[in-house]
Amino acid sequence: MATYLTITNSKELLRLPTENIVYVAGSGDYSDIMMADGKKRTVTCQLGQIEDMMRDQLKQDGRHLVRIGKSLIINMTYLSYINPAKKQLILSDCRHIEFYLSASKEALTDLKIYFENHVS
Amino acid sequence: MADIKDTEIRIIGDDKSFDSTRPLQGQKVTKKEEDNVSKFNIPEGRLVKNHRSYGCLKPLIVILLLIVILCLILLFIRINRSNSHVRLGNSHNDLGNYPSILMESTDIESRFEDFSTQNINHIDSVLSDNSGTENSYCEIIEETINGIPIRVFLPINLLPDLFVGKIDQNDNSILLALQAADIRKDNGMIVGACVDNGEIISKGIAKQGYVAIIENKISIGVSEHSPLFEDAVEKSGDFFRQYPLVVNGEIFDNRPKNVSIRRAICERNGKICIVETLQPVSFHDFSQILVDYHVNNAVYLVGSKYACGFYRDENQSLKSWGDPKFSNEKNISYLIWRRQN
Repeated sequence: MATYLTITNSKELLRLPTENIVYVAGSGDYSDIMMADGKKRTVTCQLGQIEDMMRDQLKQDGRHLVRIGKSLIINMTYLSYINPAKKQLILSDCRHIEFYLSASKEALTDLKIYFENHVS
Repeated sequence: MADIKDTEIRIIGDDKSFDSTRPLQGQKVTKKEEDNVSKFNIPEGRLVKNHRSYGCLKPLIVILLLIVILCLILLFIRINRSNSHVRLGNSHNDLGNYPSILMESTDIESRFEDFSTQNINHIDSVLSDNSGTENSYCEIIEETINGIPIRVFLPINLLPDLFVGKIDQNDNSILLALQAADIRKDNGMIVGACVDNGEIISKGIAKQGYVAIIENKISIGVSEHSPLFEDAVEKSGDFFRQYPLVVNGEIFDNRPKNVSIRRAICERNGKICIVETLQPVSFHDFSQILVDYHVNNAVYLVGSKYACGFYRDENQSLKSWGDPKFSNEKNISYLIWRRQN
């Protein structure tokens, strides 16, 4: 059964299936949520607030989501390629979508090690 | 949750059933692997530290020595009262056409250059030579301070005003417009006290910085209770609140620690200008840029790549920025400069 991330305020409600969230990128007081259909949704929340919502709503079902540094949350199920030396990170479903991202070498090294040791 | 550094990762999710001390199924665990696995015993919300931190004293000593040398050089520069640029090499985005999230330099070149005083002298001469003339325009200068590119807007013989509501970019009398006060996410009201043409729009001291426009004169400062609020009401002026960034030439620390495009209204040698960064920086770094740019006082204006604004260049061509989707809010406010009639 799919789990959903719900973002709501006094005016509107946004409900997103977490399995289709590829990554979330923070930019000041806004965050861009990139979905697996290639569409990007911008919300008026800081990345830290998105992270807190994910933690509160998803609990154990949020294990596939990782915050990388100050500006990025990724869905590890789309993790396709990591190169810490080149600071490259590619998220892809190997079918229709492919996103090239960048993060610090140290964070990508930790992510690679964590992925090797804990994720099948 | 605790703040996270750019070099760290954090697993989201309640992983009570996970036990990193057990070997992975079917895998023979050597002692080295055991060490690696045990280091990743991650309770919920714990940060994953770089496993290479163990036994890496040499690189740490090298880094510390470099920091000491850098501090000595900066001290030398400050003592000689010269401004130097430390230029970092261009961020090489070799990731194709896809967006790069974090701007990091892959090839770092450190070299010291004499600080270019040409543009600062140019600003001073523009401000002093044109005071009292009839020319009304907005001078735009691009500069690099501390390796960060900035754009400076200098209103020359223009009338400042606060405009609340949906702005018409086709109004040719407006030469410069930037979003002014923040809007509350819960009720859509303006954050902090706001006065528009003598009418009180909202009240509050959410942020200590303020901008007041009374009888066409702009004042910026920091105070929890400014008499200029009452003055603005009595004299049909304008008033709004924002984060203070620089006070009497010193950095004012603010709580937000994220990075974004930053904008500020600045008072420099008694003249008003707008400074905008052309790449994301933190509040602190932005304040440092302004201090190094010899700004005496500065108050924040709405930043980020989504906040809307525009200006008209020397050919009266309209240049705008931001996401129009976010310009439809009822209480959106703009700091504008109009031509004098």
